[in-house]
Amino acid sequence: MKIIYSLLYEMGGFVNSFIKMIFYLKEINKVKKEIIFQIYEIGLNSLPLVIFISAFLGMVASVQTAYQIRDFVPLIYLGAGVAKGVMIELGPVITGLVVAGRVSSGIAAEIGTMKVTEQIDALEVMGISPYRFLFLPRVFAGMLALPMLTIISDIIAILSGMWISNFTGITNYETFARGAKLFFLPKDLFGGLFKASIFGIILSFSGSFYGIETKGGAQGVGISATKAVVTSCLLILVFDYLIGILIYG
Amino acid sequence: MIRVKDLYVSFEFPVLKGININIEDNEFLVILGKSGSGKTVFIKTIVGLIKPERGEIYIDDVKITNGNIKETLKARKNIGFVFQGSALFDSLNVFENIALPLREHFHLTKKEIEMRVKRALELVELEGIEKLYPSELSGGMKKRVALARAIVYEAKYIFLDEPTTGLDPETSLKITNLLKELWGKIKGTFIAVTHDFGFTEEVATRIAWLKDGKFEFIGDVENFKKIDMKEVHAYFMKTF
Repeated sequence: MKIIYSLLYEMGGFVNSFIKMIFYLKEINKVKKEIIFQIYEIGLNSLPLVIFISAFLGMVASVQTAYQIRDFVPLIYLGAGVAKGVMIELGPVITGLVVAGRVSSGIAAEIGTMKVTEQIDALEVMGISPYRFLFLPRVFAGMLALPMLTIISDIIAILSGMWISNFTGITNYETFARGAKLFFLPKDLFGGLFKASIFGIILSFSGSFYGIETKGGAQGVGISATKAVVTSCLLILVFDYLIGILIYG
Repeated sequence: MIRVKDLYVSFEFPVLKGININIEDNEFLVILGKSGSGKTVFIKTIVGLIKPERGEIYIDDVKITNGNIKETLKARKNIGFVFQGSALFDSLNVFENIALPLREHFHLTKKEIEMRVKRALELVELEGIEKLYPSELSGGMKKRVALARAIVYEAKYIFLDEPTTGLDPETSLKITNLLKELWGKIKGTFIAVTHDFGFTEEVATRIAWLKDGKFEFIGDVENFKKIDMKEVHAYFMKTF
């Protein structure tokens, strides 16, 4: 009973903080510079990791799909399967999960440290809302940076899938590319990017929320960082399902 | 003037149990008391960082304990706070730290902001360090930058949480003299929480002694010294 109560209490706090942040959307102009800085932090600094993971993701997707379909389906469908799988599901979800691990924990640790060193109190005494000053730029930057990273992830994954299928002799570049083009639907790409935007909001907001909820000292900061990553990953998967039903169901 | 009426604050246990005090304009009030007696809780409650269980707080006749956010924010424009650990923003340099409240609440030009920051740094005797980051400053310098940030927007009430704690005797003395001088110059109301009786003797116009969640004594330094209590004598023994 106690666990259910504390879970509901935490969910209430999560939603309440989100509403408080939304309230400050009208003041977004005041944090333009910080948004650009955060896009750099969330987006550009995550790029090497996303590129590395996407390259292997594409190769694995290609080899595994070929293994499963080669006795039953013409290999022209390999490109279609990999491209659709990457754009709809793998690109946004894997990018979201990877960036959640890197960024969510970072944001929670940063804001958590600010909390335990009274910097959040200092903001409040100066009449500056942390929801506007800290949450809004990070969440907005996450919302913009994730689709950008996902586009790059999609391109790298599809190209690496195409390369490995040609390199291992499964099929050639032309057949793979023709298959990918033949069954392409704009909805596949834009649906995936929309998901990525939502994931960006989730992971940066989770980090911010658990950061500001930090209690105690260094141990509290560690707990917040862990909670932020776990919650981000869970919510990304839940919203992946919900948005999937909404767009492709 | 700040008026506090029948203030109660509790966490898992009661901390403040019916505080009553009027803090007059332009006075330098020093709050003394044992560790854990609720001194910091008291000043954080006045500035709205801690929600009281009950009681009333008026800042310049505006009641800030009725949950009206607008009134609280308005009152906070008159409040500067120097935290025990200075609470400077690590990601901002000294200039940006001090300029932050000006940029947020006042419609000033870039030049005006620069002038005000420069003036505040002059007042705390730290000219020329605008581009340094908090990690590059010593403990004493951080306290002075935090003080500059508290006075830059000409706040009427300056709260100081343990302003000399954690500093070597020389820096501590420097901060004490600086605060005394500053109080004389800017004609504000200073409210400090401390264990340092040397500091108290030097700056206080009035002392409030917090014990068991209530003010046991409110009066001047000379009368405080006359109190025949073990805890009070402990202060003098540390000092002399």
